[in-house]
Amino acid sequence: MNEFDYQQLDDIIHSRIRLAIISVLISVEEAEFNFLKEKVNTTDGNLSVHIRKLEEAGYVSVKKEFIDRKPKTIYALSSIGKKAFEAYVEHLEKMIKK
Amino acid sequence: MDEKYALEELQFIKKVIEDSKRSIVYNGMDYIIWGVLVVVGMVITYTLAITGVRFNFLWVWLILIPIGWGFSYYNKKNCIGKAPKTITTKAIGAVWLAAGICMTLIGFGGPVIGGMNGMFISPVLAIICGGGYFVAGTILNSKPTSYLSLGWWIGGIILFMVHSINQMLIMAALMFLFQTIPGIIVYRKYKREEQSRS
Repeated sequence: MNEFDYQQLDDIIHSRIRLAIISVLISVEEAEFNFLKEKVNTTDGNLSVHIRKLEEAGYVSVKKEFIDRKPKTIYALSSIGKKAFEAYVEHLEKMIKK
Repeated sequence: MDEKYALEELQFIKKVIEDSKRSIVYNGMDYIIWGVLVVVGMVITYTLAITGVRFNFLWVWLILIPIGWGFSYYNKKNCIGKAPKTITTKAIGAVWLAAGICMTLIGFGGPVIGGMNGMFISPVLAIICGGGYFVAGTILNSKPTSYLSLGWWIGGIILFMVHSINQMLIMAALMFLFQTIPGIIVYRKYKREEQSRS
């Protein structure tokens, strides 16, 4: 069987931008909004929309801080997000092995 | 969607992770401050020595080194939140923390305990600096950073051969060329990137 079973794919992660956000966050402990924007290579608005989806799903945690008197938003991958990402990668690997 | 797509997806994930892991946001201030402090210390010590002033040179370093460590601590705290916490950031921090502790112990331990000829302190410190730059350059995948280690190692050999007070001036020159100037370059790059990000 070479076809993906769509039912098994995580809809939240199954988007290039959200997958990129999660891939960045899995490699760092936490990252600031502008760093994510640079790595994901997207616009402020687009990034905000996708991060909100991840946040609503509980995959990403958010904290707001003032650094040098400027507000900064810092994101980190939650344990739920980490598990979901691992499951997603595992599913992709299974598809290749088939 | 087929195997090819799954493979592309995995390659994309791998690429993003590799790229992010190598990311480092560093302002270079530690390089500049330590470079300047050592140059100042070396010049003061040299001047005191050639003018024949009776003074325990160790006091110069007892004042300057804690200033350097204090600044490094302040700079690290100041960078929290500005830089992503990556394995690269941690590895680089660990390399220079280890190198700094080694150099402080040798710098103070040598003259205080007396287990090391004072003429060997600067060459050993230069060689440790070379090691630090080599490892940092390898982690960062930065050839210019790795090349700085050559400067330090060659400088270390020269320092081993110079058994006079001029050793201090050579060490000051090494610090300026291979520590302070690279620090200024990194700082300017950091400022440019900071402006483009904001």
